[in-house]
Amino acid sequence: MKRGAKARPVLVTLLMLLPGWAIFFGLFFYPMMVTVVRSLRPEGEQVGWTLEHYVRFLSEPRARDVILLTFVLSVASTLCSIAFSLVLCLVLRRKPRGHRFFRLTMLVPRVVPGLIGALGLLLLLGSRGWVNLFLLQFPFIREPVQINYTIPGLILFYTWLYFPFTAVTTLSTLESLDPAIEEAADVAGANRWQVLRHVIVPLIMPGILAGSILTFMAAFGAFSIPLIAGGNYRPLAVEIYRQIDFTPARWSAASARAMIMALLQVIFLTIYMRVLRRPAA
Amino acid sequence: MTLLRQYLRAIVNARKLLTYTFLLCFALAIYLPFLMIVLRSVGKGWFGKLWLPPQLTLDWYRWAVEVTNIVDITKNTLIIAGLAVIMATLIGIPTGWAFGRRRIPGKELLMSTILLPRMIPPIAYALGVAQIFYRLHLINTHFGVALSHVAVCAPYAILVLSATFEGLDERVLEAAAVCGANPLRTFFHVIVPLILPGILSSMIFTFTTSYNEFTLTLLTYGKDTVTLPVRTYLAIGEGYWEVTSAMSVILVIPSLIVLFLIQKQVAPEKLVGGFKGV
Amino acid sequence: MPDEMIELREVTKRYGDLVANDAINLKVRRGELMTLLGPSGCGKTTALRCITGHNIPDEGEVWIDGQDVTHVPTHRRELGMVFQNFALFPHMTVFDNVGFPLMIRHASKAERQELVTEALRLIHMEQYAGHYPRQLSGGQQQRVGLARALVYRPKVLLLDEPLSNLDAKLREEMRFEIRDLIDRLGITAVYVTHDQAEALALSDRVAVMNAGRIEQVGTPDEIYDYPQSRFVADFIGLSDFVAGTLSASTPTRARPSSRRMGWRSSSVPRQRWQRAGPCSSSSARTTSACCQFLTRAAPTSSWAW
Repeated sequence: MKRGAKARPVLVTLLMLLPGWAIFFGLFFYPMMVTVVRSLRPEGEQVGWTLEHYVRFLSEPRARDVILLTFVLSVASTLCSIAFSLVLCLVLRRKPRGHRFFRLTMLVPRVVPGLIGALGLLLLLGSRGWVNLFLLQFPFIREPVQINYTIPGLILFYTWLYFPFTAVTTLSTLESLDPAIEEAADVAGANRWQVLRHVIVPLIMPGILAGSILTFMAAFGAFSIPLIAGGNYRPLAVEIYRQIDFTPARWSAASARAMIMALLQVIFLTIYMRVLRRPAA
Repeated sequence: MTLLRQYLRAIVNARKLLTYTFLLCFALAIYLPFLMIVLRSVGKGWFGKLWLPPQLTLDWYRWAVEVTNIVDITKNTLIIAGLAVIMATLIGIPTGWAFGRRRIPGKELLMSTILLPRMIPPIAYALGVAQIFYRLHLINTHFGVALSHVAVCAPYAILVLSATFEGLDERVLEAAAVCGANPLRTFFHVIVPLILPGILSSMIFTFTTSYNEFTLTLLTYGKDTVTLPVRTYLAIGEGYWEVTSAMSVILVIPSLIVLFLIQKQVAPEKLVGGFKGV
Repeated sequence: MPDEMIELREVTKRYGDLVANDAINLKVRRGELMTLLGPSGCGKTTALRCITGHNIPDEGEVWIDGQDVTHVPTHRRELGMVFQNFALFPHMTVFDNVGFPLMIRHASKAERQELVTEALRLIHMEQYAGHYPRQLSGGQQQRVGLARALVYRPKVLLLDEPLSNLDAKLREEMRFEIRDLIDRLGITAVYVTHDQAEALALSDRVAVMNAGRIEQVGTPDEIYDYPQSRFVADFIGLSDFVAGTLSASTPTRARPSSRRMGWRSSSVPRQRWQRAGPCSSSSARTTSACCQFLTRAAPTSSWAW
């Protein structure tokens, strides 16, 4: 009787967790398995194993370009996000007038579909957009500056879309700092820059890095943005999709590329975690 | 003395000026793209290097409605979002209950696992989802597309609902029992009102997530289940900026409305991913 | 060289409608330990923060060592401060924490090594140099905070309720360690606390504050034996208040009319009649003047000396 009574709550808990697990398994885990298997099958076949898709992709010089491009875009936009978030959050934590509005503004890129943000940026930064109209006012700029479809332009797009991840964690870490610690540094003789450099930044670094992981991963797998604003530059996610765009769709080739992307992500994530654990000594 | 004080005050004011200029530029950087879209959607004859369109018109919206069948598309989007919300909530409630009210070993790890589909870009597993759906004939069905959305909606729902259930104080239930309520009445009169805000909050999140979802839809849609994001993408490909802008405006308004409506009740971290420390 | 190390002149600080400091005047002599004592909300911490520069007074001036520092930013005031919650830098070792002020002042590595080791020796924590704050107990952390505040020999040491977060026994021990250290270094110190036993035990002089004003400044003896207002009399030590009529008085003593007292003065041992509060009549000799008198209980063991 006693054992039964103890087992029941556990059973109930397991049952309650079942739907969540089912979804996780069915919509994430199993699809990943399918992709793995598919990546190892010859194109269009249901049987047989082959590594040709991996080999063919990795031996192309284009492959290296694609992977390099993806990394460059992700790393650059993550760094820009960190820099920008740091400044933004240091400003916002003094609660200037209207700071609530700006905190909300921080979230806007995450709430609207990436497509729309990209479209708006395309229009704004295009050769007829306001930014160029503004720049043309200056005498030393004779022609519209090409921002769209360039790598710096793409980095700008990525940063616009993905900096909220970093900003939110940075802000919350910053606000949880004990003000007495800054006052202690103050009294000890440190001016504002020294307090920032020696006390504030080291203490919020874990928060910044945690948020920047999300930014990096989102940028690494960015799909809708480069799809419409990448021009001739195609990072990994777009490469994957392009394989399916063929007729007949090249599922195996796409799967192979997806696995490579997943692997790279895991590798990078592990390295990042290692780096994160060290300062927390 | 006063000169020094004035000088110091000027420095302080310069810092203030810099601060507000920075914030202004930040706000412009975020909101101008949307302004551009709106202007494009109502502009007529806007060629060449003009700041504003010479004429205003609603032609493009009319075009969107008539030619591109936007009403049907919106209907699709809403149906799919509705299905996704129902499914995600039905999954979120029991899972959230288990996480919130029961001690589970390795809860943090499990939570991170649940969030995995949101952290890993959808394109990675969308391929597999698409292939499975082809085999199950779920492609181009409202249910199929909604189901694929659940992959990214359910984590949100679980997150919000586990927080809701965690906040349900055991003692309130005990008090109800002491007052004489049997389990059924306790459920309806005490539990439901307490968890209703959380459920509503999760529904709102889930709805906007499904409404805006693009990548998964792109891989599971068909001609009967075109959603607003997908149609907007196709329109961008067609190159008519004006109509595309009109469609985008129609697409984005609900999200912005929802954001400003719920801003008071929600912690920003939840909206962004709920990732609590690495 | 002025005799006063620290001077607050008519310092007023407001927070909206609340007047935290109301035209405060305070002089802290060179080398003395002055305590600001009072209940929560009396403005003592606000006054301290005016000295450190974390608050800029709305009116009045702050002078340190003969210079007007009212608008000088905190990091240039050359002070040392000990905080209630220790405020050690969690990401630095004990050594780096204590050496921080030296690092800021671009001291050489050798200098830093020497001064920090000496400071750690003063607080008996040399073997903890490589530890992190989270590995230390509360008392140890506070000692490190003390060392950090003193390592570069500031002119003034400020202590904001430094012992409030420690348990009672530790508090009593640390009290004397702090006093000892301050004496040895000959530093001027301003101490803020709400614990009167601490204030009376530690200080050279005490400033009793209430509702933004300084009620009385004096040595612990003076405060205890000759309170100048009802508040001070009430706040310090244990006292009973007895209402009476002034029947006769000299400049220093007053005798109440025993008829109104209800008991004879001689039956209460060791009582001292002090006039608490101003008399309503200009002439102290008239019997119609009504003042309040108080009787002191015998000194309790809360006296440390």
